[in-house]
Amino acid sequence: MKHSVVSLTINGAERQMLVAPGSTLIDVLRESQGLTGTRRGCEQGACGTCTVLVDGKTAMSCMLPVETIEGAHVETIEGLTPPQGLHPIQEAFLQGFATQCGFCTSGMIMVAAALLAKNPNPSREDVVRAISGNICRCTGYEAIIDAILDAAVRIRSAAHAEAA
Amino acid sequence: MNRFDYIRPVSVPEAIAAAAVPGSAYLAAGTNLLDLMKVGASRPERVINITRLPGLDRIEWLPDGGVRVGTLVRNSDLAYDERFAKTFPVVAEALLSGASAQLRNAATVGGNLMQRTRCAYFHDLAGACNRREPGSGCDALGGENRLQAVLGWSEHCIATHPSDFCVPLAALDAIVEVEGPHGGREIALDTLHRLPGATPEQETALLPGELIVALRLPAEASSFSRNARYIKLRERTSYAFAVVSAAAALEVEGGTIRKARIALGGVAAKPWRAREAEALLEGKQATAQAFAEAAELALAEARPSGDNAFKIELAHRIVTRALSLALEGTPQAMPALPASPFPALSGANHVI
Amino acid sequence: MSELSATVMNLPRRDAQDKLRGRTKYTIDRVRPDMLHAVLLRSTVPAGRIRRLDVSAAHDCPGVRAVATGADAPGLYGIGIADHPLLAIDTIRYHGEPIAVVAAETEAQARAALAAIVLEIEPLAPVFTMAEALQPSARLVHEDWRNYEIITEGGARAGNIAWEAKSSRGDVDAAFARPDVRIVESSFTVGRQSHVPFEPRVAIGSWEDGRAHIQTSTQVPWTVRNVTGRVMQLPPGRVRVTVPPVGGGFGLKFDASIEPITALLARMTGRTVILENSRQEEMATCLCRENAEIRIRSAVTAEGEIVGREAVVLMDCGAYGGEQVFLTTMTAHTLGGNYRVGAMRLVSRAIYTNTPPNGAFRACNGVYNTFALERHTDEICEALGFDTIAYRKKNVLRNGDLGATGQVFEADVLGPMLDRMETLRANTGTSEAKADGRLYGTATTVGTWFVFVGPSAATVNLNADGSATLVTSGVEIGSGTMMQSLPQIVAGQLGLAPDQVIVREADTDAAGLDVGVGGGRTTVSIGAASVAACTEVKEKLLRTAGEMLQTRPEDLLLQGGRVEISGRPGSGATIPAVVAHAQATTGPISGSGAFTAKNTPAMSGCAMGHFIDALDIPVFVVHEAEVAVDPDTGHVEVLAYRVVQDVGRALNPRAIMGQIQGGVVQGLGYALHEEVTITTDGRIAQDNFETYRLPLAPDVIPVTADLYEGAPSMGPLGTKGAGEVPILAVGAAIGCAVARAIGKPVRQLPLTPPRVLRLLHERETQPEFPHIAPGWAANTLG
Repeated sequence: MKHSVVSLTINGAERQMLVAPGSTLIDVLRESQGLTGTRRGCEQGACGTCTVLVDGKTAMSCMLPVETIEGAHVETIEGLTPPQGLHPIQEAFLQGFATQCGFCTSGMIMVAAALLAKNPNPSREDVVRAISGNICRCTGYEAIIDAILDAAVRIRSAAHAEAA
Repeated sequence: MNRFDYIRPVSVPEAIAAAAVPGSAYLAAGTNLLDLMKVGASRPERVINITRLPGLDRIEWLPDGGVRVGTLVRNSDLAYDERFAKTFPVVAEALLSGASAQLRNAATVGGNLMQRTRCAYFHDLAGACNRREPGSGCDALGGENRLQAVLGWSEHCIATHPSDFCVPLAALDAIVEVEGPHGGREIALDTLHRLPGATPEQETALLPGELIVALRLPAEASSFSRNARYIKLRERTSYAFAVVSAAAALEVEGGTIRKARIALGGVAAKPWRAREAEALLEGKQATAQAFAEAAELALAEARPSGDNAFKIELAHRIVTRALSLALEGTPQAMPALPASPFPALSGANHVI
Repeated sequence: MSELSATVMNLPRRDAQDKLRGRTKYTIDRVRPDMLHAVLLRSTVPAGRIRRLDVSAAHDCPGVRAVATGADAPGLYGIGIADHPLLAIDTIRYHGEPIAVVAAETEAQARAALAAIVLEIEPLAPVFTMAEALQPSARLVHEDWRNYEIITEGGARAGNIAWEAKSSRGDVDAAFARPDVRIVESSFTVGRQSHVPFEPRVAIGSWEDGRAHIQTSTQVPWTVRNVTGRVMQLPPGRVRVTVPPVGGGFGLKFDASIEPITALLARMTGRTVILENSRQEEMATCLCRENAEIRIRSAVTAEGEIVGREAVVLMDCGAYGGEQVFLTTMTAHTLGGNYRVGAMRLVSRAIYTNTPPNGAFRACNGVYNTFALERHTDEICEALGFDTIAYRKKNVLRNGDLGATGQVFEADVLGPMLDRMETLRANTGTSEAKADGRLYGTATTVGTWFVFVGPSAATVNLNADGSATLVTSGVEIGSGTMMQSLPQIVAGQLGLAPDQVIVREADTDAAGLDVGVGGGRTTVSIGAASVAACTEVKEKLLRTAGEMLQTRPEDLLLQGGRVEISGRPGSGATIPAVVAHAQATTGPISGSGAFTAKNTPAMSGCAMGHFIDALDIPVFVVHEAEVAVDPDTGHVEVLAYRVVQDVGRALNPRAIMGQIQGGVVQGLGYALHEEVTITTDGRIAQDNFETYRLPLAPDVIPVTADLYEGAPSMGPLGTKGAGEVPILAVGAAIGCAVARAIGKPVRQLPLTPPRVLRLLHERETQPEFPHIAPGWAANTLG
């Protein structure tokens, strides 16, 4: 059983790592990179809490063998978080009471980020569909849906202000 | 997870040569294989990563209007490809009704075709399963078998094939292109998956070492684009495998059915094409009664494999509903809940 | 500004920022490279006798530092009765029961070493169902039940009946014998519900200064402390429990489970040991909401008066008594709640089976008893021809009505709440049009729950920078009580802003006894203890300020971070100045407070084997659901959901709304698709997220809610717990609405599509309980 060297760009920084066969992205993020903001949920791709962005698309890091994404750009909740203050999605979640126990939050925010990058003006159905692979056991989802819609408004108005 | 060797071939021939060694398994996105390896239901000694193979991630339109889809094309990329979704809307609808957005972003065309059954006994190492361990028996037969097969099953295995994607593919005469140790060949999708018979462990028509390199949809399949639906019943709205599903595609002219295509999912170890039902409809007026008769015929040979007679009734209703929704016309835009059996979607609020 | 208006606000969570940035370190995030990893050897049979257990070879495996078995922690624990070993001793009672544990340098090494343990088990015939367990010839799950230590006196016990609680008020036989009554009888059965807190149970144990220190994801650090002491046969004071942020609990973490194992291994190795459940282990050994069987019969006059009621409730506790022993108490208050009843007797039994033990889950017991009671009420209405809403309005508990144990309910609450529901419905309109040709049904149901009051302690230290530190054993499990209502309460008492209140992480070495975060008690009990602590702080603060300002303390008030002379804004001093003065003169300012239940008594002789005779703080709900049922597929769509909830006083209305939405959705899962079944070899079949069907975003709807304020409560500022009760009546409302839609009696949950189809076609086997005797006497231990 040979380890292999894999290169990834994680939150903008190039990383080379030695990984055991079958290592998943979440193993690498949490155990060798210390990025514990990506949470382990079900380990079978059924809950979405470990969602990160791989080349801009959402992916469940528990189901992604690292060897299959050699060279990819990976973004985690730590990478999305600005050095100061909060990202507009995080701000919308804060003001919208959209986190309770917080264990699903990172995954929800990463899904929201991917959605809003592709679709800056989503409908409620678009949001529901986007988060439909993410389980939240606390909130009953409504606060999260509302927060993502609010985040879209915040991002659009920030972009508008910048353009003006 | 068991210990295994990890191989990264850079060409198709190299991959095939590597896979010729017994105990090998191809790995693409790993959404199914990795899951099985984690629970120990699959224990390959050699894992061959095919994600780097060149040229397998393209959607190519053929001169005759058909399409050739590389085996590494991601489910979401295919479903959201504008021309593909317009030409084969029923396939896009089936794709979008499966798994979750994250999994669709990862899962590949070939991986979807090759996914294994979700039968709990296949995944549970403590139980007997002829599919996982030939000759060990089938615990599903006397166990929890509500969701098991009602068509084409045997005393050796009553598992179902879980794919949504494969159901319209079977209906639309899709072809699978395969490369193997003895060269390339083509397999009709309808014959790719095997019924269990006495050898449920032989799940597909692929020979050892063969690799699916592409999927083809013939040009004729595009003639159904205006009247085609995939309908899926599940016990929860998202991320659930089908209890039963049906793809229905019609070519209608002045109320008369010119051509019909029907396939069912969740009912057998393979996507179940209902050719006799199709034949019954062709040339008939598109009426509720005709649809009901077709559904009847599609399920004529169905019999419960356990506590699942209700699935036969459900399948009957879902075939009927898929046909009537297909007749109403393919929706202009993808419905908010793809493959939902409910005609009026007031919002995303079905608790099913 | 009044104390109340200074406290009520929609304060966002103070812990949200770290959660949103992914920075929060849950217990599971605190693993370090120098820790040992523990892995459990679990039973693969549901019942058996351990004939041989030899762990010596495992000691020699690579990386192994310790191996422990039941002999290393021989004490038994439990609630009411001590029947539960930490690791199986001699007898195996469920599939998955821990038998031995290995601690090694890596998890893989620990797992590999399990194979070296020699284990021989002589299988015993398992007892899987309550029906089997109650057979006269049934094998005893606990042969030694007579010899267990009784922790709480009073419950009747016998063989597989772990505990029996009984209430009896009035002459029930006479009521049923009246010539002018109609007798309505219904039987119900419900399955288990798995909590699925996202962070599984995990603990980190170390041995420091001759004492255990456990960091764990728990709701109840004091129970972990006490149980660990008990099983390790240590004075509980030699155990310290601290609690990092908890990734959800819902009651699962309201009991000790794996924590003492880490302390045991830490003592053996001198190293820090982490033990975490995999998702599969977590679900296979979930202390689920119990499956239950309920028979209820009522004697009702032609006018609708319920003159007599009798019920038998069987609760499956699984292999060990656990919470179910305690929860037998709740039948009197839930099934015995809601309505004015003449004479009533109820018996509730916790039954041992060879299945994974059950436990506490949000509004335990109440969820299914409310379903049963409300469906039974609808069956009464159907039998006697009453309108279901009018009947409820006429018969719900009013001021002065008696509960099952003879408790006197104060004030009219449910009646006005039903009126408020009508207003809410008038405002929202109904959703019948959305049924679009499907079968439509609507139902309005009521529920009675309570606040599990119990003891709490709090200390408040006022700091020289104007901040206050609140020290309690309260845990933030996600509901927000420790991050919203508690800081709001303390800030309101001391005239501070909530962000000036520092909430100390729970630590049994720092704060006094607390019976845990659950039962809707945190805001009430820890809140009241905090108010009491603030009273002492205020007294000291005002006394010091009085000296500084040459003013009588009673002429001073606290607001905006200052001590002001009443009526002369700006005349006083800042709190930091006063604190600094106190520190230099009389010493730092701190206060301690305590609170406990007032233990409202039952009527003499009415409650037997109860842990709570009467409710100190009842809580009521009115829930209304509209559903559409697809007759072809049996699928239930919830079209609308409305809630009127008795909150006493809403300190943070938006946070409460969040609890209501979340609780109702958990209830929708319970009512519609979360199903736990037991396999033929005694396992929980649904041990992953594919087979256990939690609601996802497309499965839910926005709940419309109205918060009913002003009902009496002994809670601080009139509060009641608001987080637990939203799940209470969801099974009831959905069950009643579906029954109405399909025109058939609904007597089981969950209402999965296949079940609804069977009901529609009258192919569903309705519950019948041959193991519940027709007469009363045979169903009780006397």
